[in-house]
Amino acid sequence: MLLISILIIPLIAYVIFVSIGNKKREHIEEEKKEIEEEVKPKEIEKSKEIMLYFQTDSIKISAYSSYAFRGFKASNFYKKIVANRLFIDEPFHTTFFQLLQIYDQTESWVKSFKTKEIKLKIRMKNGKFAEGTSFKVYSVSKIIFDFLGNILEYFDNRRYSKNDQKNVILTALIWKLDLVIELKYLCQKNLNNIDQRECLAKKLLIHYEKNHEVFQILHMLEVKHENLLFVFESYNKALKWQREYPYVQKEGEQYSAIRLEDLASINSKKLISLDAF
Amino acid sequence: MDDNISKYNGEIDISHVILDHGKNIKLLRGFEIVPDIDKRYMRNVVIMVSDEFVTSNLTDSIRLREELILFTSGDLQNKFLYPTTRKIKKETVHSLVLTLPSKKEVFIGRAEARTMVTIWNMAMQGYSFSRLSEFETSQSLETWTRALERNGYLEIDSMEY
Repeated sequence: MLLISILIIPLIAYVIFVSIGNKKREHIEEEKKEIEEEVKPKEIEKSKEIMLYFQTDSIKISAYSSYAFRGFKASNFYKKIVANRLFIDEPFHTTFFQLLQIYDQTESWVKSFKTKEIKLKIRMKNGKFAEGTSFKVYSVSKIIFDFLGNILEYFDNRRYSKNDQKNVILTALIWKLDLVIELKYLCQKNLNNIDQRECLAKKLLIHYEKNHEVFQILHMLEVKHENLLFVFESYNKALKWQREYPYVQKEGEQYSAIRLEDLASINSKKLISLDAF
Repeated sequence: MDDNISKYNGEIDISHVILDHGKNIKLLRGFEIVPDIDKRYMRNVVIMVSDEFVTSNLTDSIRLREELILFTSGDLQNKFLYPTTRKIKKETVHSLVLTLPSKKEVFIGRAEARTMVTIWNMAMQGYSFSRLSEFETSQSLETWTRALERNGYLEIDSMEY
């Protein structure tokens, strides 16, 4: 019995000792793990993938080809007004395109305010005299495109309804049509400026009704209505920085006429995507 | 053709000499602009009276000068200037009358005529006329307009004396 007890006691002591040692070791390992976990960089949670579906098909509108213009300014304005602002409804679209074509093709001029006239009389090779008057001129088409640019800039800074913008743009272009010498054949001679503008407006605005707002705005322009003073301002601003060109006016000079039948008609429109402008 | 002509860029440099201040009579001289060469070749000699060309080539200009020299000895065979008499302060004076293309009349007295001839002679000294007689027929209304614009003759303020 004693012998058994002598054997068991150390055994028990050993077991207790080992179990305490184990616990300690476990505790240290746990602490180690905790420290390791703290030191380890945390894994970033992956966000869920969100799929967005965009409408990538290009929008197509029925429009005229801007290659019809000679100069880049006209096609630029066509892009700015028809493609960017989407003023594509008829009859504005076609009338506006026709007016751009007229101002693009015209070779008319306005005499500069700061020019002197010199009368030339020059003996030519054959011994005969050639007579002419030289002075400096502004190009009508350049004035008008600057004028249009100024009006658009004005609209960008203020709130005008789409309809008002269209009407004012159209009226402004028609208001200055009397500067285009190539269209003089359309109206009677010896008309004063106001009558001539009215006559030209009637010839060009065939698709508009007689009591349309455009005609009212044209009338307001003639009487210098205070709400439209910005149009006059834009025109004067366009004139102010125009480039002057030397010009010699000879006797019996003739201008080729711009025929209205040759301008674009509604049937010649094509589907063009907005990216292609 | 010598090298100078090939360098000529077609532009004309104009400078004027005033022959008479009161009547605004000017002698316009056109020069060739040849780069890299100091010598100036005269291209044309023109007489301009208050914004109107009276003569346009050397022959006509010299003829006008000769008529100034002749003064009252000239007659109806003159081309530009005709001798006439007019009354200033109830006194009859002899003068030459020049009719401009715009039908405006300019009267020139004896002293004025002599002054103009003297200044003409001074203005022509030292220039080569070789190109002038050769090329004066190549002018046109367009070349003159371009040259006038280039030299500021079409601006309002440039003609202030």
